[in-house]
Amino acid sequence: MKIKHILSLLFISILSSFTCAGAAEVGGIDIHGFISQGYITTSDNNFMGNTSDGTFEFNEIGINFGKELTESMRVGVQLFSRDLGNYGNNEISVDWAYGDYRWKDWLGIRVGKIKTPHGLYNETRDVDMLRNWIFLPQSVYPEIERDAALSLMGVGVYGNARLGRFGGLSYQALIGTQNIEANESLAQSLMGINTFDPYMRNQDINVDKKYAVSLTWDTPLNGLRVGGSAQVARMDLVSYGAYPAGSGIFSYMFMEMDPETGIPVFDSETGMPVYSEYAFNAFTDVKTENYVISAEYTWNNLMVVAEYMLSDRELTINTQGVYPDMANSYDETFAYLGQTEWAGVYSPSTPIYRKPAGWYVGATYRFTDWFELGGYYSENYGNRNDRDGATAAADVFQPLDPVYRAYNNDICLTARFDINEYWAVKLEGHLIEGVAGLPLSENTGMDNAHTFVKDWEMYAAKITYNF
Amino acid sequence: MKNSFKLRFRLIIAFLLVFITLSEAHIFASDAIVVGSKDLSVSTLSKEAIQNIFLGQQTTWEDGTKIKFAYLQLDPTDKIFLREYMYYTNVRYIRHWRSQVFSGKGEMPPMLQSDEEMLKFIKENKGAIGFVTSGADTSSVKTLSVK
Repeated sequence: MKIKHILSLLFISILSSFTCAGAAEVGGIDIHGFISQGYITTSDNNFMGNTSDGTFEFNEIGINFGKELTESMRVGVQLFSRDLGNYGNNEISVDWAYGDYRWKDWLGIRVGKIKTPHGLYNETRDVDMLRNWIFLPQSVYPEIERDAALSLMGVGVYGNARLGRFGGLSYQALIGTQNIEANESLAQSLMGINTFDPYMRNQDINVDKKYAVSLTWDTPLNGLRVGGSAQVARMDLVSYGAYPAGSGIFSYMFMEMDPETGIPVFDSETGMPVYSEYAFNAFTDVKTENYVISAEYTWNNLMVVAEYMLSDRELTINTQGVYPDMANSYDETFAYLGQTEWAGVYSPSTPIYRKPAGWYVGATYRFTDWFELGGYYSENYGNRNDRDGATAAADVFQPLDPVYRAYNNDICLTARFDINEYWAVKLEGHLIEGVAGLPLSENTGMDNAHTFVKDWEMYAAKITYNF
Repeated sequence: MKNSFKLRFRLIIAFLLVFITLSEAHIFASDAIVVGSKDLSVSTLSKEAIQNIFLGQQTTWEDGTKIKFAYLQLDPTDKIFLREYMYYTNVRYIRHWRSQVFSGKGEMPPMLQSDEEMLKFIKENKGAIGFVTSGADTSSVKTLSVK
């Protein structure tokens, strides 16, 4: 893993030395790349990794190859590797790879692995050089769901139309499927660490269908563009949870019972029920819909942007218990009670609905060729109908704890220093209230209690290079 | 704690408002001229057309010829061209094309370093368009007026 990382760094360094910082062209193939290395530290709470102690596990490396086959057709591929705490770990993946045929300005087609639109910046979210901020606002671009929003494998059409004095329109429409690693952030977010408890892990995730569309209007007011985008996906998750005796939300289902009478066994000293360790698989059907509306205005060296995201999630969970030695199925174990099937606490016919939402406003201003300042204010809610988490905290089966996991308000300020056209250094600070979007497993103590702190700070530094 | 958070938020917003209202000094002489190859059927272009061409949104001329454009990376000619004809800064323009490159949507236009290189590019390519510093010898290319 780390060897791959080192080889990647070496490869890009050698390549960049040949290219004297600019792009390379070998045999008619254009080559571009980027690399960044960062450092994150948090005053409290862990953001996607052990950030409260400070970490250098924060980098991105990408290199792409493109060739124009004819005046209307081009092909390209980008290899990408990243590390952010416990995610990515510098495994090399194909970021995008497709053939592109542009028949007319208003109609082109792409086939392959295609970046999907989601807000204004999703398609370039991994390229640090292209923006002021180190972290895009988590309300619209949550790191924990990055892998879901990123791309699809399929086909897409795109184009732009000029509307004379009314400006211009550009659009994209894509359909396909997606490969998501089971241990990546989205899978853990949807079914596991951020949803139930720290014991849950995903084993597999299959995206059946994914659709993405976007429409952007370049208005007659120079520098003002507004747009909307949507992503809809259907996927299946296979998750597994292994629990110590008495732990987890289903522990009450796994009391020791007398095999003859079926009566619960109680500890003779404490008088408390005796529990067993248990495990179960969960098969979950997930429907996700994300919608973003965006507006960006650029005037000389000032850029102002605002985006709002609304999501709808429907999770239908089908569980199968395995008890207590994790060898026999729940059905077999409890057959003597006349139960032949158990669908868990959540019936398959009763989907769970989640309705996250978030918005931000931000601005950047370039003072000189080498200095740019930026900032944003972002609000993120796990449930737009329960923004303070009061309802979730009162839930009988699975109360939200702590209640400030329901939201995340983030004030960010970034200073960007451009050493030259190819190198930049950034410093960023965040004042954050609430912990929505933080993985529970990264913020759990030895006693299995959460270690969340409501008001916290995050600081990041990053150096980035591209050619 | 909540009040402290709000106070810090207000202070930062106030700071942002201060810097975004800072005035800018942009005093450029209008000395970038748009040139094209002699085979071009057009002699006048709108600013909107220039924007569309240099952002890669218009890829063919009206007669169907493929547009080939190049960017002159020569200070201050590039800044003048972007400001006068496209309402862009050079930083924003370069970021636009890098966004295209790293999302796989397009390829960087040729980045030329001198008027001579640009004139050579225009002369050698059919359907070519670019810009040079006023005063450059444009006898081998077609000067395009912008309305």
